[in-house]
Amino acid sequence: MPKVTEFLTPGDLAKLASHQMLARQVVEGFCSGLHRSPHKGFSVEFKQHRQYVPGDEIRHLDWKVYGKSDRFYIREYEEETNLRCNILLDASGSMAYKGQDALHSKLEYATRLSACLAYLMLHQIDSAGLVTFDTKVRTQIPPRSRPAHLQQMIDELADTKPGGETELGKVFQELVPKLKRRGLVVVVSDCFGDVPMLLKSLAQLRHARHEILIFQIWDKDELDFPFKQWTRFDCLEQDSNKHMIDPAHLRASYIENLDRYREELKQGCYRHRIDLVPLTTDQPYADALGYFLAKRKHLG
Amino acid sequence: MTFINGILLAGAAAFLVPLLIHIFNRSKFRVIKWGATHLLESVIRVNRKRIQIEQIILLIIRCAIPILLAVCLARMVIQEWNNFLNWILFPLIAVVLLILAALFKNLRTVFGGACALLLLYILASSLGWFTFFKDGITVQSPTGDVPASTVVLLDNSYSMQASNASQTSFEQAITVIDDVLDDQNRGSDVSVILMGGKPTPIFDRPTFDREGMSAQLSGLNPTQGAASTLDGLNAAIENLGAMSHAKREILLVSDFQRINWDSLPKTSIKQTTELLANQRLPVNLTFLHVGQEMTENVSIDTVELSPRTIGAGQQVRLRVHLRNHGDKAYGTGLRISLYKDNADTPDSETDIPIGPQEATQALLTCTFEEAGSHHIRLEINSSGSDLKFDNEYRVAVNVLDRIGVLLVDGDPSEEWLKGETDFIQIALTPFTKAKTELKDLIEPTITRVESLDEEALKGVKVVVLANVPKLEAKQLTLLEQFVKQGGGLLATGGDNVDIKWHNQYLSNKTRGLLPMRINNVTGSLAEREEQTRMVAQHFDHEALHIFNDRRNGNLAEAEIAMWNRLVPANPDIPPSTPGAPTILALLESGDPLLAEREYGDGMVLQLAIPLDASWTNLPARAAFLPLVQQLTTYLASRTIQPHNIPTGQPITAHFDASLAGASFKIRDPEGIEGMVKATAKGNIAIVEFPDTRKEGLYTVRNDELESPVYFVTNSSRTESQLDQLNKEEVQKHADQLGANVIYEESIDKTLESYASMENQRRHGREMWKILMLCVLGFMVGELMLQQFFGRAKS
Repeated sequence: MPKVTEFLTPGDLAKLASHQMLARQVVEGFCSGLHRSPHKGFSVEFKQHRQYVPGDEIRHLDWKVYGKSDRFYIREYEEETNLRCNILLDASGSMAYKGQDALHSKLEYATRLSACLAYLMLHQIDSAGLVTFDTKVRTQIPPRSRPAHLQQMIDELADTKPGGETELGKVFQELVPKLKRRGLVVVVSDCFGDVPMLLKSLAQLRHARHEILIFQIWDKDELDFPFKQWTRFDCLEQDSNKHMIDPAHLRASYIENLDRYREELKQGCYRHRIDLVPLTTDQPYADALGYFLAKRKHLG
Repeated sequence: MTFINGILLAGAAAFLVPLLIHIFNRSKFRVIKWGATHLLESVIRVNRKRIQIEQIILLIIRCAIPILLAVCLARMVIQEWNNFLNWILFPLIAVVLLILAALFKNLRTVFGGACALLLLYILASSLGWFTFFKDGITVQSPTGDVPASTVVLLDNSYSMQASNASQTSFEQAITVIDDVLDDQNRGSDVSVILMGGKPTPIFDRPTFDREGMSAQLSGLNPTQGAASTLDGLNAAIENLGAMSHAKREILLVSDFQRINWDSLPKTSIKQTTELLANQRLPVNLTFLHVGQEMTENVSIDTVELSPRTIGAGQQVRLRVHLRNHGDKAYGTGLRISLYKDNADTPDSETDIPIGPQEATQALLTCTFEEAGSHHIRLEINSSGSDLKFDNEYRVAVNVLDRIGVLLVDGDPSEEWLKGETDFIQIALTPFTKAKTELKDLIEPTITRVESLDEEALKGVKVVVLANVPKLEAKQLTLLEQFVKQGGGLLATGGDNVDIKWHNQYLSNKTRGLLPMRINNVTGSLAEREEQTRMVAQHFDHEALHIFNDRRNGNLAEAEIAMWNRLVPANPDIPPSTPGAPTILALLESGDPLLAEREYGDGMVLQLAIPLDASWTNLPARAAFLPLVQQLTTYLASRTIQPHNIPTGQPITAHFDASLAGASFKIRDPEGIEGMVKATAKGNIAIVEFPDTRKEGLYTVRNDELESPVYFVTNSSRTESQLDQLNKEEVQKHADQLGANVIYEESIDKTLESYASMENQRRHGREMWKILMLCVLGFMVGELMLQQFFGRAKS
């Protein structure tokens, strides 16, 4: 059975611990979760009364107070539930790319990053779930907050192999009804594919009031396109797709095309208030966790 | 269109390098499994065609660079514009248009169309359907503008010394050449070939150094024999091949003596004409006449010296052959003076009358008291002669002290004239025996057979074995060594000769000294029928040819009663190989009388009869004395090197072996000294000096020598005939060779008409500068295009 340490180096673990400490300092009331839930109405602990304003649900009116004071007050409760985080891991063929000088393929990097995130979430007593997908959803582990849940997720991550085409739009549309409760959706993917389609499905997720954080995983080669000699580029997702080119001649056009694509994605995400964090496989995982915690804090 | 360094065109094959790199790059690719295909695909889709075109353009440029560079280094010369347009300019424009078509999408059709039209034109033009310049306009470049390669053929034969009032023909020639070369472009190279005798360039290589050439020219003297015009022209054409420029010129500066030109064989002229016509680059040949017509000249054609071997105190006879080439008669006599060695006053003088166009002879004599090398200068005093050079003639004379001859008597006798060598001794020393004041050259010593040893051979040049029965083995070895080292041996027959021993040791088939075996003794003293005589014949041999003149005696008069019948010692040895016997004289019986062979450095003569009165009455005949003298001096002078040689033939002086390695100073007729080292060869030291083109006296000196050794070179006196070709005749010869003629009365006019002729000439133009610019342009263009093509295209 794979162990946590297979994915996380001692250094990573140490960094994680410090992030957790940081989170602890920021948030009080550790027993009821590090962060207050934006959900109200699931009735656990009374928080406060507040004056009714038109538009509030009538069922939340405190009729007893009305009986005493003849005023409308709304009863507000504080929910003790944790943040529900779903990690959406892209295991499509394009994630199998490993650069010339890179230590890991993009997928290896993504699984390690996902493990880190899961570990962090569970240690914050948040619920963490995992969805792996390529053309369609492969596996779905629903969010739990038990520490033992980490092991299940790590097992799943370890078994994830790249394959299939990236169809982010389709997959996200498929996921929308499955993620019933709103929470944080962390997408770990290279986001290759049709950008408008992707943005459309992300908008649907947003519509379901999910917070979305995208870790876009790049290999350095994909950004720099440093190839010099004649090269045949075999597509990782479609075997028949092969291109024989002199890369040096195409570099400038490629970079331009890449920038255009990234800009389009960035603008789309900005429009839908989605956080897009590009990461290269040589960046430390802790960088990504920093972004995550920042987002998490914002949510809190 | 030609190339000066045509072989460098092969460098154009370097265009294969970029082509191969291109193909190799495509065939040796790496495979990358790629994720971001969607980013790449659109780029490829948009750019594929463009990239292909760009790569083809870059490939064309990269291939064109080495080709252009090779054409540039091969130094292309354009004589005709059409060629240049078709093969260089239009293809280059086509490439540029292609590039423009790739760069400007909007104007692609215009540029592409223009490029296609151009290529069509090149095709049509090269197939001869259409040309840009219908008449084929020749490339012109003005004279001074382009550097030229010029070969000047300068006649330095001695006839160029002929002078009018102010200047000799040769001085005029130098002035003209200097002026012509001064007018040339600074980068021009020039080679001057002297035509007198054997054509010789002044410098080994063509030179760009004008001042150095001028200095060399001003130091020249015309002292050579007849000018060899065609050889000179051939040498000039060969020289031009190694020269640098496209503008090529041969300038023949001469006095155009009739004697030189009328004797030219037609086939040789044709060959030279063809050679000129087949040159890759056109050659302008110009005949430039200098000097004025002069006819009055008296010359000493040659001098005959006798006798051949001269001893101290002996009288030397000089027969001087004179010729009057002009129309002036010397009725009162032409004075001929003889100067010995370096004397200023004549030793003897004589006056000879000579009529116009006549030849005559004069006889002069002189005597040298001291042995050694001497020289004689003969001079005619002719104030009316236009050419002074041939009024003088020199002769080198080698005066011998004494020739030591060892007579080995095989049959000695106390009685007068009964000894085997008595007659020989008398014949060798006639003056001593006659008790006259004259001296004998030969000093004979008589010895008995048993006394023949090393001591006896000291100072001896010739050994005579007179009727010697046999020799000790040691004596035989000594004798072999003596001959091998250059000594002479005369073996006579006789009744005492031990035939068996003789055939076994002296005439041994493989290692005998003598050329002939003795078969037997034949003839009879008593029976006249069995007696014989020598065949009366014409003698070619040097030792006997004086008997062709009956005044020297008739050998055939002598009766020969008995003789040794001689047969070749080694019949297998082919004639005319070294060591093969040569029969010099025959008896009427058919047997050989006199035979010779070379042995080592020496010479052996074998006689079938004794040189006394026992078998023949030859000693009583008038021919006996000259015969013995001739045979002995011939054997003795074998090692004497000729001291009077034709110009151009190397001087070879022999010295004692102790001088091997020593330095000898050689002074030529102009007083220029050179050093030569003596090399050892066998038992002598040899000094060789090949550069004897100048006519006159050469002096070989060494500190260890008591007196210098003189050599004299003489050339043919054909140049003394000063008659020159007239303008029409020169033009006729020039037409045959395709040459232009400048034949003017004065130098100024000559130079003027040469300049005007030069200005009308057209020369091919070298294109290397333009091509080099193209190469540079292409290299820069390639870099820029590479950058430009690498840029992103929307």
